[in-house]
Amino acid sequence: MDKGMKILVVDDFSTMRRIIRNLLRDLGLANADEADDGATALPMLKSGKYDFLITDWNMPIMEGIDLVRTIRADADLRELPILMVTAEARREQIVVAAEAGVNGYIVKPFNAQTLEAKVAKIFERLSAAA
Amino acid sequence: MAQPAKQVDSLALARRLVDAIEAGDSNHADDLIKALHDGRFDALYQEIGKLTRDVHDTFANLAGDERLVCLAQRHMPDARERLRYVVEKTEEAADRTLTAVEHMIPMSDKLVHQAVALRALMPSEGLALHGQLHTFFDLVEHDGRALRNSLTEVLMAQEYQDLTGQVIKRTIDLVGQVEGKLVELVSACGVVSGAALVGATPSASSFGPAVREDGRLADVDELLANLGF
Repeated sequence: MDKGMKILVVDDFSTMRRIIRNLLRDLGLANADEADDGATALPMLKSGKYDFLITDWNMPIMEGIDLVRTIRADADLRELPILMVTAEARREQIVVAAEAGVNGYIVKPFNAQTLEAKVAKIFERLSAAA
Repeated sequence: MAQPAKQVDSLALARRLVDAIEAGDSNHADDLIKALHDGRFDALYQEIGKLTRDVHDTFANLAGDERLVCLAQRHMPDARERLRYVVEKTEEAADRTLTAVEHMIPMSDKLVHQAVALRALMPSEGLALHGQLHTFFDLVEHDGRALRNSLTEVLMAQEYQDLTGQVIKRTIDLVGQVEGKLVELVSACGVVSGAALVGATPSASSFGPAVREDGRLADVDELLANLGF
Protein backbone atom coordinates (compact mmCIF):
# COMPACT_ATOMS: atom_id res chain seq x y z
CA MET A 1 0.00 0.00 0.00
CA ASP A 2 1.43 3.34 -1.11
CA LYS A 3 1.21 5.71 1.87
CA GLY A 4 1.26 8.69 -0.46
CA MET A 5 -1.82 7.59 -2.37
CA LYS A 6 -4.51 10.19 -3.03
CA ILE A 7 -7.80 9.46 -1.27
CA LEU A 8 -11.26 11.02 -1.60
CA VAL A 9 -13.59 10.80 1.43
CA VAL A 10 -17.28 11.32 0.53
CA ASP A 11 -19.91 11.81 3.26
CA ASP A 12 -22.67 14.40 3.74
CA PHE A 13 -21.77 14.75 7.46
CA SER A 14 -18.63 16.83 7.96
CA THR A 15 -18.08 15.14 11.34
CA MET A 16 -17.74 11.74 9.69
CA ARG A 17 -15.41 13.10 6.98
CA ARG A 18 -13.15 14.52 9.68
CA ILE A 19 -13.19 11.29 11.69
CA ILE A 20 -12.23 9.22 8.65
CA ARG A 21 -9.48 11.64 7.62
CA ASN A 22 -8.02 11.59 11.13
CA LEU A 23 -8.06 7.80 11.19
CA LEU A 24 -6.42 7.67 7.77
CA ARG A 25 -3.74 10.07 9.01
CA ASP A 26 -3.09 7.67 11.91
CA LEU A 27 -2.52 4.97 9.31
CA GLY A 28 0.01 7.22 7.59
CA LEU A 29 -2.41 8.10 4.79
CA ALA A 30 -2.39 11.88 4.92
CA ASN A 31 -3.16 12.75 1.29
CA ALA A 32 -6.96 12.94 1.49
CA ASP A 33 -9.63 15.29 0.14
CA GLU A 34 -13.33 15.55 0.99
CA ALA A 35 -16.64 15.79 -0.88
CA ASP A 36 -20.15 15.95 0.58
CA ASP A 37 -22.03 13.82 -1.94
CA GLY A 38 -21.67 11.80 -5.13
CA ALA A 39 -22.45 14.72 -7.42
CA THR A 40 -19.60 16.77 -5.92
CA ALA A 41 -17.26 13.78 -5.80
CA LEU A 42 -17.64 12.70 -9.43
CA PRO A 43 -16.01 15.73 -11.13
CA MET A 44 -13.23 15.64 -8.50
CA LEU A 45 -12.60 11.97 -9.28
CA LYS A 46 -12.58 12.65 -13.04
CA SER A 47 -10.03 15.43 -12.84
CA GLY A 48 -8.09 14.53 -9.69
CA LYS A 49 -6.33 11.20 -10.33
CA TYR A 50 -7.44 9.63 -7.04
CA ASP A 51 -6.10 6.23 -5.95
CA PHE A 52 -8.79 5.30 -3.43
CA LEU A 53 -12.39 6.27 -2.67
CA ILE A 54 -14.14 6.01 0.71
CA THR A 55 -17.85 6.79 0.39
CA ASP A 56 -21.04 6.86 2.44
CA TRP A 57 -24.26 5.43 0.94
CA ASN A 58 -27.08 7.69 2.08
CA MET A 59 -26.37 11.21 0.79
CA PRO A 60 -28.48 13.91 -0.87
CA ILE A 61 -28.44 14.57 -4.66
CA MET A 62 -26.28 11.58 -5.61
CA GLU A 63 -26.17 8.57 -3.29
CA GLY A 64 -23.00 6.57 -2.74
CA ILE A 65 -24.38 3.50 -4.48
CA ASP A 66 -25.06 5.55 -7.64
CA LEU A 67 -21.55 7.00 -7.41
CA VAL A 68 -20.14 3.45 -7.27
CA ARG A 69 -22.21 2.38 -10.32
CA THR A 70 -21.17 5.48 -12.26
CA ILE A 71 -17.51 4.86 -11.47
CA ARG A 72 -17.69 1.20 -12.49
CA ALA A 73 -19.30 2.22 -15.80
CA ASP A 74 -16.65 4.86 -16.52
CA ALA A 75 -13.73 3.73 -18.68
CA ASP A 76 -11.24 5.97 -16.84
CA LEU A 77 -12.45 5.32 -13.29
CA ARG A 78 -13.60 1.70 -13.34
CA GLU A 79 -10.44 0.36 -11.63
CA LEU A 80 -10.66 2.76 -8.65
CA PRO A 81 -10.70 0.86 -5.31
CA ILE A 82 -13.82 1.76 -3.30
CA LEU A 83 -14.59 1.31 0.38
CA MET A 84 -18.18 1.98 1.42
CA VAL A 85 -18.66 3.23 5.01
CA THR A 86 -22.34 3.42 5.84
CA ALA A 87 -25.06 2.96 8.47
CA GLU A 88 -27.01 0.83 5.97
CA ALA A 89 -26.66 -2.56 7.61
CA ARG A 90 -29.30 -4.74 5.95
CA ARG A 91 -28.04 -7.85 4.30
CA GLU A 92 -29.69 -7.10 0.96
CA GLN A 93 -28.07 -3.66 0.86
CA ILE A 94 -24.63 -5.16 1.40
CA VAL A 95 -25.37 -7.53 -1.47
CA VAL A 96 -26.46 -4.60 -3.68
CA ALA A 97 -23.22 -2.76 -2.82
CA ALA A 98 -21.15 -5.83 -3.63
CA GLU A 99 -22.96 -6.21 -6.96
CA ALA A 100 -22.36 -2.54 -7.73
CA GLY A 101 -18.65 -3.25 -7.32
CA VAL A 102 -17.40 -1.97 -3.95
CA ASN A 103 -14.10 -3.46 -2.76
CA GLY A 104 -14.98 -3.22 0.94
CA TYR A 105 -17.92 -2.36 3.20
CA ILE A 106 -17.92 -1.01 6.76
CA VAL A 107 -21.10 -0.62 8.82
CA LYS A 108 -21.28 2.45 11.08
CA PRO A 109 -20.64 2.65 13.97
CA PHE A 110 -17.15 1.31 13.44
CA ASN A 111 -13.75 1.67 15.07
CA ALA A 112 -10.22 2.57 14.04
CA GLN A 113 -9.12 -1.07 13.92
CA THR A 114 -11.93 -1.97 11.53
CA LEU A 115 -10.98 0.80 9.14
CA GLU A 116 -7.31 -0.19 9.27
CA ALA A 117 -8.12 -3.86 8.66
CA LYS A 118 -10.52 -3.19 5.76
CA VAL A 119 -8.19 -0.75 4.01
CA ALA A 120 -5.28 -3.18 4.39
CA LYS A 121 -7.40 -6.05 3.06
CA ILE A 122 -8.49 -4.11 -0.04
CA PHE A 123 -4.90 -3.30 -1.00
CA GLU A 124 -3.60 -6.78 -0.19
CA ARG A 125 -6.23 -8.27 -2.51
CA LEU A 126 -5.48 -5.75 -5.24
CA SER A 127 -1.73 -6.41 -5.11
CA ALA A 128 -2.34 -10.18 -5.11
CA ALA A 129 -4.55 -9.85 -8.18
CA ALA A 130 -2.05 -7.64 -10.02
CA MET B 1 -82.07 -13.65 24.86
CA ALA B 2 -84.62 -11.20 23.42
CA GLN B 3 -84.66 -10.92 19.63
CA PRO B 4 -84.28 -7.46 18.07
CA ALA B 5 -87.52 -5.90 16.82
CA LYS B 6 -86.42 -6.00 13.16
CA GLN B 7 -85.62 -9.68 13.40
CA VAL B 8 -89.08 -10.37 14.97
CA ASP B 9 -90.72 -8.42 12.10
CA SER B 10 -88.75 -10.42 9.53
CA LEU B 11 -89.65 -13.70 11.26
CA ALA B 12 -93.37 -12.79 11.31
CA LEU B 13 -93.21 -11.84 7.63
CA ALA B 14 -91.43 -15.11 6.80
CA ARG B 15 -94.09 -17.15 8.63
CA ARG B 16 -96.83 -15.35 6.80
CA LEU B 17 -94.95 -16.01 3.55
CA VAL B 18 -94.87 -19.74 4.29
CA ASP B 19 -98.60 -19.63 5.09
CA ALA B 20 -99.34 -17.74 1.86
CA ILE B 21 -97.31 -20.23 -0.25
CA GLU B 22 -98.98 -23.17 1.46
CA ALA B 23 -102.37 -21.56 0.82
CA GLY B 24 -101.40 -21.06 -2.83
CA ASP B 25 -101.92 -17.28 -2.54
CA SER B 26 -99.11 -16.27 -4.90
CA ASN B 27 -100.08 -12.56 -5.05
CA HIS B 28 -99.85 -12.24 -1.28
CA ALA B 29 -96.60 -14.27 -1.26
CA ASP B 30 -95.08 -11.82 -3.79
CA ASP B 31 -96.09 -8.88 -1.61
CA LEU B 32 -94.52 -10.52 1.43
CA ILE B 33 -91.27 -11.25 -0.45
CA LYS B 34 -91.13 -7.58 -1.50
CA ALA B 35 -91.80 -6.46 2.09
CA LEU B 36 -88.94 -8.69 3.41
CA HIS B 37 -86.60 -7.41 0.69
CA ASP B 38 -87.48 -3.73 1.30
CA GLY B 39 -87.08 -4.16 5.04
CA ARG B 40 -83.49 -5.35 4.57
CA PHE B 41 -82.58 -2.46 2.29
CA ASP B 42 -84.28 0.10 4.54
CA ALA B 43 -81.94 -0.96 7.34
CA LEU B 44 -78.93 -0.68 4.98
CA TYR B 45 -79.98 2.78 3.78
CA GLN B 46 -80.47 3.88 7.37
CA GLU B 47 -76.94 2.71 8.25
CA ILE B 48 -75.46 4.49 5.22
CA GLY B 49 -77.37 7.61 6.16
CA LYS B 50 -76.06 7.46 9.71
CA LEU B 51 -72.47 6.97 8.53
CA THR B 52 -72.82 9.88 6.11
CA ARG B 53 -74.08 12.06 8.95
CA ASP B 54 -71.16 10.96 11.17
CA VAL B 55 -68.62 11.73 8.44
CA HIS B 56 -70.26 15.07 7.78
CA ASP B 57 -70.28 15.95 11.49
CA THR B 58 -66.65 14.87 11.90
CA PHE B 59 -65.54 17.12 9.05
CA ALA B 60 -67.72 19.95 10.33
CA ASN B 61 -66.08 19.62 13.76
CA LEU B 62 -62.68 19.42 12.11
CA ALA B 63 -63.46 22.58 10.19
CA GLY B 64 -64.26 24.36 13.45
CA ASP B 65 -61.16 23.06 15.25
CA GLU B 66 -58.55 25.79 15.41
CA ARG B 67 -56.12 23.43 17.10
CA LEU B 68 -55.81 21.41 13.91
CA VAL B 69 -55.04 24.51 11.87
CA CYS B 70 -52.54 25.56 14.50
CA LEU B 71 -50.97 22.10 14.53
CA ALA B 72 -50.60 21.98 10.76
CA GLN B 73 -49.42 25.51 10.23
CA ARG B 74 -47.47 26.35 13.34
CA HIS B 75 -46.59 23.47 15.66
CA MET B 76 -45.42 21.00 13.03
CA PRO B 77 -43.15 23.47 11.18
CA ASP B 78 -41.90 24.48 14.63
CA ALA B 79 -41.17 20.82 15.48
CA ARG B 80 -39.17 20.47 12.25
CA GLU B 81 -37.28 23.64 13.05
CA ARG B 82 -36.43 22.31 16.52
CA LEU B 83 -35.17 19.03 15.11
CA ARG B 84 -33.00 20.90 12.60
CA TYR B 85 -31.65 22.86 15.54
CA VAL B 86 -30.67 19.61 17.28
CA VAL B 87 -28.79 18.48 14.16
CA GLU B 88 -27.04 21.84 13.91
CA LYS B 89 -26.07 21.98 17.58
CA THR B 90 -24.79 18.40 17.73
CA GLU B 91 -22.78 19.03 14.57
CA GLU B 92 -21.26 22.16 16.10
CA ALA B 93 -20.42 20.31 19.33
CA ALA B 94 -18.90 17.38 17.41
CA ASP B 95 -16.85 19.81 15.29
CA ARG B 96 -15.57 21.62 18.36
CA THR B 97 -14.62 18.31 19.96
CA LEU B 98 -12.86 17.19 16.78
CA THR B 99 -10.94 20.47 16.57
CA ALA B 100 -9.76 20.04 20.17
CA VAL B 101 -8.81 16.40 19.54
CA GLU B 102 -6.94 17.28 16.34
CA HIS B 103 -5.05 19.88 18.36
CA MET B 104 -4.14 17.41 21.13
CA ILE B 105 -3.11 14.39 19.05
CA PRO B 106 0.11 15.95 17.66
CA MET B 107 0.91 17.24 21.18
CA SER B 108 0.73 13.76 22.69
CA ASP B 109 2.71 12.33 19.74
CA LYS B 110 5.40 14.95 20.21
CA LEU B 111 5.71 14.23 23.93
CA VAL B 112 6.26 10.53 23.30
CA HIS B 113 8.70 11.09 20.43
CA GLN B 114 10.75 13.56 22.46
CA ALA B 115 10.87 11.24 25.46
CA VAL B 116 12.08 8.38 23.26
CA ALA B 117 14.70 10.61 21.57
CA LEU B 118 15.94 12.03 24.88
CA ARG B 119 16.23 8.64 26.50
CA ALA B 120 18.41 7.50 23.57
CA LEU B 121 20.74 10.43 24.20
CA MET B 122 21.12 9.69 27.91
CA PRO B 123 24.54 8.39 29.04
CA SER B 124 24.21 4.91 30.44
CA GLU B 125 25.61 5.92 33.82
CA GLY B 126 27.05 8.73 35.89
CA LEU B 127 24.08 11.00 35.48
CA ALA B 128 22.41 12.44 38.56
CA LEU B 129 18.78 11.33 38.95
CA HIS B 130 19.42 8.56 36.41
CA GLY B 131 16.77 6.22 37.82
CA GLN B 132 14.20 8.97 38.22
CA LEU B 133 14.72 10.12 34.64
CA HIS B 134 14.15 6.60 33.31
CA THR B 135 11.01 6.32 35.40
CA PHE B 136 9.85 9.66 34.02
CA PHE B 137 10.51 8.63 30.40
CA ASP B 138 8.64 5.36 31.04
CA LEU B 139 5.72 7.36 32.34
CA VAL B 140 5.71 9.80 29.40
CA GLU B 141 5.91 6.98 26.86
CA HIS B 142 3.29 4.81 28.54
CA ASP B 143 0.81 7.54 29.42
CA GLY B 144 1.46 9.37 26.16
CA ARG B 145 0.39 6.29 24.21
CA ALA B 146 -2.62 5.77 26.50
CA LEU B 147 -3.55 9.42 25.97
CA ARG B 148 -3.28 8.93 22.22
CA ASN B 149 -5.62 5.92 22.34
CA SER B 150 -8.13 7.81 24.46
CA LEU B 151 -8.05 10.73 22.04
CA THR B 152 -8.80 8.33 19.18
CA GLU B 153 -11.69 7.04 21.27
CA VAL B 154 -13.02 10.59 21.70
CA LEU B 155 -12.62 11.10 17.96
CA MET B 156 -14.58 7.94 17.15
CA ALA B 157 -17.32 8.81 19.66
CA GLN B 158 -18.21 11.86 17.54
CA GLU B 159 -19.63 9.39 15.07
CA TYR B 160 -22.88 9.73 17.04
CA GLN B 161 -23.48 13.02 15.23
CA ASP B 162 -23.69 11.31 11.84
CA LEU B 163 -25.85 8.44 13.12
CA THR B 164 -28.29 10.52 15.18
CA GLY B 165 -28.27 13.22 12.50
CA GLN B 166 -29.43 10.69 9.88
CA VAL B 167 -32.25 9.51 12.15
CA ILE B 168 -33.35 13.06 12.94
CA LYS B 169 -33.25 14.09 9.26
CA ARG B 170 -35.52 11.17 8.40
CA THR B 171 -37.87 12.22 11.22
CA ILE B 172 -37.92 15.79 9.87
CA ASP B 173 -38.94 14.39 6.46
CA LEU B 174 -41.68 12.31 8.06
CA VAL B 175 -43.06 15.24 10.06
CA GLY B 176 -42.98 17.28 6.84
CA GLN B 177 -45.02 14.64 5.02
CA VAL B 178 -47.63 14.38 7.81
CA GLU B 179 -47.76 18.16 7.94
CA GLY B 180 -48.40 18.32 4.17
CA LYS B 181 -51.27 15.85 4.45
CA LEU B 182 -52.74 17.73 7.40
CA VAL B 183 -52.59 21.01 5.48
CA GLU B 184 -54.41 19.29 2.59
CA LEU B 185 -57.04 17.99 5.00
CA VAL B 186 -57.51 21.37 6.63
CA SER B 187 -57.77 23.02 3.19
CA ALA B 188 -60.28 20.36 2.08
CA CYS B 189 -62.42 21.26 5.11
CA GLY B 190 -62.21 24.88 3.98
CA VAL B 191 -61.27 26.43 7.26
CA VAL B 192 -57.93 28.09 6.87
CA SER B 193 -58.81 31.44 8.26
CA GLY B 194 -56.25 34.05 9.21
CA ALA B 195 -58.35 34.94 12.25
CA ALA B 196 -58.11 31.40 13.59
CA LEU B 197 -54.34 31.47 13.24
CA VAL B 198 -53.84 34.85 14.84
CA GLY B 199 -55.95 33.82 17.82
CA ALA B 200 -54.25 30.46 18.28
CA THR B 201 -51.33 30.23 20.69
CA PRO B 202 -49.05 27.27 21.45
CA SER B 203 -50.31 25.32 24.44
CA ALA B 204 -46.87 24.73 25.98
CA SER B 205 -45.88 26.97 28.86
CA SER B 206 -42.17 26.57 28.17
CA PHE B 207 -40.53 26.84 24.78
CA GLY B 208 -37.13 25.19 25.18
CA PRO B 209 -33.96 26.58 23.61
CA ALA B 210 -34.32 29.30 21.00
CA VAL B 211 -33.88 27.39 17.78
CA ARG B 212 -33.79 30.30 15.37
CA GLU B 213 -30.67 32.00 16.59
CA ASP B 214 -30.48 34.80 14.06
CA GLY B 215 -33.96 36.00 15.06
CA ARG B 216 -34.78 35.31 18.68
CA LEU B 217 -31.27 35.35 20.16
CA ALA B 218 -30.49 38.67 18.49
CA ASP B 219 -33.65 39.99 20.13
CA VAL B 220 -32.45 38.66 23.48
CA ASP B 221 -29.04 40.32 23.03
CA GLU B 222 -30.74 43.60 22.21
CA LEU B 223 -33.01 43.26 25.21
CA LEU B 224 -30.08 42.54 27.55
CA ALA B 225 -28.18 45.52 26.14
CA ASN B 226 -31.22 47.72 26.63
CA LEU B 227 -31.45 46.57 30.21
CA GLY B 228 -27.79 47.43 30.74
CA PHE B 229 -26.69 43.80 31.32
